Amino acid sequence: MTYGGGDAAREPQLDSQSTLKPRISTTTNQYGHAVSRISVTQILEATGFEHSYRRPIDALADVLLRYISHVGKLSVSYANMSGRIQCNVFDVILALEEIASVHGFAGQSDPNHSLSSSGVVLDLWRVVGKEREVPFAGSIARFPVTRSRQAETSQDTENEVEWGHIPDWLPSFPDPSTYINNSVSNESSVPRKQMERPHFSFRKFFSVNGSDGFAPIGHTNVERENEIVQRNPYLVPPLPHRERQVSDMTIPSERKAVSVFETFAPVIEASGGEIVEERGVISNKRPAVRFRIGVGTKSMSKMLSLRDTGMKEDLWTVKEEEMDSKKRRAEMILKESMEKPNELAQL
Amino acid sequence: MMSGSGNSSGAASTAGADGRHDDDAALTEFLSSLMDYTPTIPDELVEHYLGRSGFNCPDLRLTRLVAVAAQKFISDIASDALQHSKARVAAPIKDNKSKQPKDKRLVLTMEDLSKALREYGVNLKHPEYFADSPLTGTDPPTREE
Repeated sequence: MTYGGGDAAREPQLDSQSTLKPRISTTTNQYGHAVSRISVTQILEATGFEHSYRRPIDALADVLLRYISHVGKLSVSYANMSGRIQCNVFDVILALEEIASVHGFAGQSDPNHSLSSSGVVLDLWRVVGKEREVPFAGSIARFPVTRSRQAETSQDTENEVEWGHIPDWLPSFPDPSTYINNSVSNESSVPRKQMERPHFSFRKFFSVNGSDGFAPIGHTNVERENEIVQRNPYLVPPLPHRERQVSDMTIPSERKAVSVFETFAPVIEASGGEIVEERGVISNKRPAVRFRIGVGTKSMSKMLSLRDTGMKEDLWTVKEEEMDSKKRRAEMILKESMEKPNELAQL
Repeated sequence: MMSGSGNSSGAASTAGADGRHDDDAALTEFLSSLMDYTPTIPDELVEHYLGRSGFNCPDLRLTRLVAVAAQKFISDIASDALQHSKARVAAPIKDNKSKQPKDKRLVLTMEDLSKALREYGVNLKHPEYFADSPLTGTDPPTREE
């Protein structure tokens, strides 16, 4: 059977025949299209055609591939409708009947016709039984051919167990010693990857400053915890509900200055003239400290107003060291306010 | 493997249980005879394109069944095209002056094929001519006088 290049009368003369190539097949289908073209040519020859042009053969080859795909799609849909994922012979017969319903086949009008003895099946049986068998010219390999990938050989995969359910292209598991907490495994002979310890130690960092408040809980014993608690004022246990002696504030009042010497003069004279500083002097009149919170450029120190109302102060629970600094600050503030009493009116 | 033998054809069979068995036996025999017959379309090609559609069946007989069905489909189209071609050859020549012997070769042309495919629901249109530009053949634009 000759395979013509085209009708010269109808088609214009072109330089190369490659431009006339129909865009039916893409690069992925070229092999399948070529194979189907061979089988179509054989079928045409068996039918009786002696010659053919190139384009009808290409068209028929495309029709053949579309037909096969269509039968497959219909069969799958019938199988899925029956709740199956694998097709059986009756799915294929139903698909063939649906395609042949356009032309009609024997027994199509009967809705209860048996699929086994369907007209479609009988037609096919006739093809198999009567028609001359024309096998495919040549033999083709199973396609598409999958390239066999070589397994990656690396040091990590030497000791690995081959799992059947885990694909080879996944990375290998890490060394079990890295994620299994086993105290016995400290003296393992297998060289294991040492976990990198952080170079920066929080404990050392905070221990230099004197406060170990950020030491991790699990790593200190009880004694150390108590030590930490005693140093950090915020970790001190709360005070029980009772009276507590407050350290005194020796604030010299402006108007009614209570002189210690005058008050305890007879005591001093009795003791022999020794002057002992007593810190436990409680003045009856403590000046009330009033704070005014305002938005202004004036410093907070000038906002204090002192009045000698004799109100009792609340109990303060402050460390002794901080009390001294606060005392000093308070004294400074009072001095400033006493020296410049006129500026209080500006508040 | 006789897949689902009595499931779908059970209710459809009108001949009763015996008829059903006969039908199934005939189908079994037909499927076994498929293994002896080698269709023109190779099994690998059919398997590949069935697999692309989602057809999942390891049974080779079903693949052969589809291959035989496709072969029958193409041969039916070819025979219809052949009849169209023969009808054109056998048509009387209207122009008696040429007296040229008609080409009695049976050549498959796009015209015959498109006529044959139209009956099967496939629209195959062959362009009648090729033009240099898309505007070739259209009416010339009206010129201003």
